[in-house]
Amino acid sequence: MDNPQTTSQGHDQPTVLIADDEPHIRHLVGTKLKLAGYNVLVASNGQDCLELAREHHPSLIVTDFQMPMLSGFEMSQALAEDQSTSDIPIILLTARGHKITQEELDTTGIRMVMDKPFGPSDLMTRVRGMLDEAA
Amino acid sequence: MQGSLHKQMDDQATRTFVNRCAELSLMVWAYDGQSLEAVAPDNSAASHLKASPGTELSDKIQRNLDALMEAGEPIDIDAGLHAAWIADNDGPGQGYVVVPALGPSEHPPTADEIAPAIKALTWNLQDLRRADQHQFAVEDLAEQLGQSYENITLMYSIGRSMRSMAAPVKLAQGICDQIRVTQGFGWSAVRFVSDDQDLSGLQDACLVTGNMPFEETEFRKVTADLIAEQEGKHWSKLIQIGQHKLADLVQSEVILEPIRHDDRVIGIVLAGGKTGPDAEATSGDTQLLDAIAGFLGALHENAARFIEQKNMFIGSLEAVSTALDAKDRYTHGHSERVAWLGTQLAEAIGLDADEVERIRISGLVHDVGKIGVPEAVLCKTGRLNDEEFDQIKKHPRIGYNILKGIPKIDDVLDGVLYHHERWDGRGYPTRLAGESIPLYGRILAVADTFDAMSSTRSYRQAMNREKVLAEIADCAGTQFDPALTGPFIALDFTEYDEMVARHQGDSADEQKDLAA
Repeated sequence: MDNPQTTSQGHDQPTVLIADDEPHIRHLVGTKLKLAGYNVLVASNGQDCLELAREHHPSLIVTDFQMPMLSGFEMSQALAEDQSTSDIPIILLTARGHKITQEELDTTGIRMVMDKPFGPSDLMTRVRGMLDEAA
Repeated sequence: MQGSLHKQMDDQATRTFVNRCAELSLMVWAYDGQSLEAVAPDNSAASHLKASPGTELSDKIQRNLDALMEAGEPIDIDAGLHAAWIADNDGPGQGYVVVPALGPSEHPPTADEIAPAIKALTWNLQDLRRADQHQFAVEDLAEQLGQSYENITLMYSIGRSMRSMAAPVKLAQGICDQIRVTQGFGWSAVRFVSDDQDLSGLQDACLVTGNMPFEETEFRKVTADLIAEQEGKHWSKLIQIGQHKLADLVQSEVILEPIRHDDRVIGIVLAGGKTGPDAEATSGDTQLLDAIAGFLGALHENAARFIEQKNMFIGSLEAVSTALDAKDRYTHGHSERVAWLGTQLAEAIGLDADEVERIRISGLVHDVGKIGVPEAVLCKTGRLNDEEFDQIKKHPRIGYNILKGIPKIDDVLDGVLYHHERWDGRGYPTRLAGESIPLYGRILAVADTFDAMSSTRSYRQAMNREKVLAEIADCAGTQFDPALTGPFIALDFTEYDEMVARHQGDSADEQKDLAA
């Protein structure tokens, strides 16, 4: 299990937090984000993700849905309840078959749901888009 | 917004809707939030329309648009002619205006008369849009399912192929090839860097499948370097061009996964060169590689354990046969030489590598039964009497009985039991003749006799090479299988002679030790 970790590359770069219990996804997305020049935070479960988000206030969170301790969705709900973190945009990654209604999504900062498996550049396009919007 | 108007008018659901309106004698205008445009039905449905929309009518609709959208029911837009708004869920402020088409002197239907049709059409449009969404989702799901099915099939076939460990190199290559094909990579490879000796070809192997747009020797080196570099560090499993010489060498993005055993990294499995419109590694690829690395690690370990066991087994046999030969200085090295001769003859008649190996083992142990022959008889100088000869003749059967408990060595046992049979049936212990004598027995018969004649024994000197070969040729069809004597005589005995010299040297050393 990875420990929550930070890699700082520069303070002017947006920080993106990636949370997933599958190591190969963390690696794939983390590497692509780093190459794109973002600061990257990595978490392997919902609890760590929540703590990292509260502590570092990333510009964007990319999270898996199914994770130990706290699901990506529950984590997003927790963030939405807190004024200081409710504005963080979230992309939710999910394997097929998980149905979350739009109403449920609207209670959180989840702006987009992406299916697994995904093409990394697809994800990167959406990350960039969302960060540009927020900027 | 212009784009969405076209979309409104082009997709199947919209066409169906417009056609149904036409069959109910309703004309349709599409509104996308900005512009209003009349939509004509397909020709077949158009015949139902009693009139076509005119531009005057368009203007009237335009003027009443806001009211139409607000009303929620048909409203009068021109002297009793009612129009109705049907909202389209596809976008806010998008929808259709429908107006009854009238023949030359027809009176327009009342609001109440067209209201049911409008209601039904509204529901129908919603249903059509929903069906569209479902269709899209189903197709997407089907594609996903297809991909998952492929993945599972791949896993099954890998699982099945793991049953046979006989050819680990082929197996590893096969696995790599499969993932290359199903995931659409240009090439895939597995690079082992184990420091074990002989692993049936897996040791230090560099197995590549697919299109190799790079030099193999260079690839070998770069991959080994990469493994050495990453040792102990956090593995970089996705490499872009410009990041590392590996990606630069193959000129594409590379994904890789380390193959581990316990805590050691014993190799990597890697792939790259994806082509096509979506030419990047997906999370599905990295997941697959992760699983494959597990398989390949198990394969490697299996091969290693198997070889280890085999080496132990053969090592034990060699120790036993050497011990036996050591009892009598005349037979020192005999089993080793017979084993070698046997393998040479086996190769000469075209047996495969596995069989050649089995014959070698058979040669090593063919005389193990001599353990059961009294030493006095075995090492007697001078001729043996009949009784003593009978005791010697028991050694094939004794050897067979000693070894028969070992699993899976039936063919090896044949060499032990039948190496004193004769082609003409006058051998021992079973007096079989011709081809009913198992092949290993026939092969070792020639090898054994050749070595016996070529060495000095307690009862006579060694014969020279020419005489020995002539004797063997002479005995074709009587003592020996005539199909084997030809190939045997044609062998190159250089290595054999070196062995003899070496064994004589060993013997002399031992004598010295004993005398000292």
